[in-house]
Amino acid sequence: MIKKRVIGVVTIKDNWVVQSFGYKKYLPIGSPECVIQNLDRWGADEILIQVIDRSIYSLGPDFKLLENIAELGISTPLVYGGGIRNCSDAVEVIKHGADRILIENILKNDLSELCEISLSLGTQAIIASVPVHMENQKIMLYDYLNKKSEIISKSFLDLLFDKTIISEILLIDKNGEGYPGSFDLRLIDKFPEIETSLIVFGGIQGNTLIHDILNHKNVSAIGVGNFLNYKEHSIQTIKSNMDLKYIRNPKYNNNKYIDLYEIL
Amino acid sequence: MRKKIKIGIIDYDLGNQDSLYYFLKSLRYKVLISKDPKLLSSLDLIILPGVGAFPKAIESLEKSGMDKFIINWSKSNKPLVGICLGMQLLCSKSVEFVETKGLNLIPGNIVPIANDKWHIGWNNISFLKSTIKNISENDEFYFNHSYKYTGNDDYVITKTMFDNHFPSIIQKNKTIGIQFHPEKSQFSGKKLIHAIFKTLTDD
Repeated sequence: MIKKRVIGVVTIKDNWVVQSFGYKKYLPIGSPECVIQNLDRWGADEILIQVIDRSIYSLGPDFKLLENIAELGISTPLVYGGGIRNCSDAVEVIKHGADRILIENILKNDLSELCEISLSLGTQAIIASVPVHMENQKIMLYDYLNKKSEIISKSFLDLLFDKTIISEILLIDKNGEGYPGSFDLRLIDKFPEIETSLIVFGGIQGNTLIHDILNHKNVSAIGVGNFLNYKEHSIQTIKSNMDLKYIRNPKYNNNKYIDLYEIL
Repeated sequence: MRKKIKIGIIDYDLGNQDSLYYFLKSLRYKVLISKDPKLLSSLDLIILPGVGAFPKAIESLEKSGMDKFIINWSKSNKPLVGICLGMQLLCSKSVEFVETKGLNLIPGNIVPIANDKWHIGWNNISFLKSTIKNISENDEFYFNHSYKYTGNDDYVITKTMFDNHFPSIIQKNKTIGIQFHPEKSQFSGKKLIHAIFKTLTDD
């Protein structure tokens, strides 16, 4: 049976991993390599990297970062988002070691390029980043480049639900992001009934909240960011409080230095 | 003392070759990424990686001439491992986007998962044949695909449950295809890679 995933979300700004609070305030945590190596060691089901200053300054993807991560020899699936401008960028990101890509601006601005990416990489590699928040009982779509929100349009929803383009949606609670236990469950409840799976992120902490989110049929994964960095082995801590029928058994990968040939 | 296996990763401009390279290096294999048949010919085992869509990948293999190298390598009964899309490319044909012929090294076709779903995440494998040792059905592996193999069960080593059972490792002679990503499956993936390499290179 396919398991629901606990994804370690790593937000990077100015080459540092940062804690992000509601897309407004940022506090440094440490080096990306160190944080990512920890998540790999702790058995995260996926690691999602979002480099939030690449698109703002039109810098393109951070290939150097991807090279540094690849050199770590990590064996956890990697999703990369940040600065992907076109199909060529997307293909290079995968070549540099990511397994999937996270896109946001192309989604809104360049449908033909998005189709080209899908034709090259396959839809399974494409995740749409959708920052949202509730306002007057309506789901508002947040644009982090111009810092404005608008009601999520039908044409945008049609695009999100197009199975030939996108495989999963990263639904981010823009207001809850960074604040423990503040994810707004109405965002899932009011989100249209769809077949595309949701990865839910933004303020997810606490057993009851995690349980409630993972009980949703459309939710395939939760993303956890800041809170993973407060304690050692935090992935195991989260998983040890969850129903094991949903998730991969929490294991601490302490076998790094064992010669596998010895045990085979 | 164990023999140090030399592994070649085929560079065909599509695929997560860098992560595979460093993953294998971390397991202390000698590894080379190349599209040069002369260099690859001297190695013990070849890997065809892949993250992408089938038609583009075949186009890329044909453009570089690597399709012929892979076919000759496999037909000489030398060890070949296809991973994810790399596994699908080993088969007869795929209907992803448009019907496209594959390398036809393992008979069978690549078709969509039922209801056009994606199978993304961690799942178990169950063995139909005991070719691969030391892997338990409790081991979990990372899958990321929306197309699957369909063909004769003679070629199927393991199956995985997702709506229905589908083949997750296939084999013909010394050519093995793995639908999931062992290089992204943490300790279970490391065990599996060692076990498969051992199976293919032990004579």
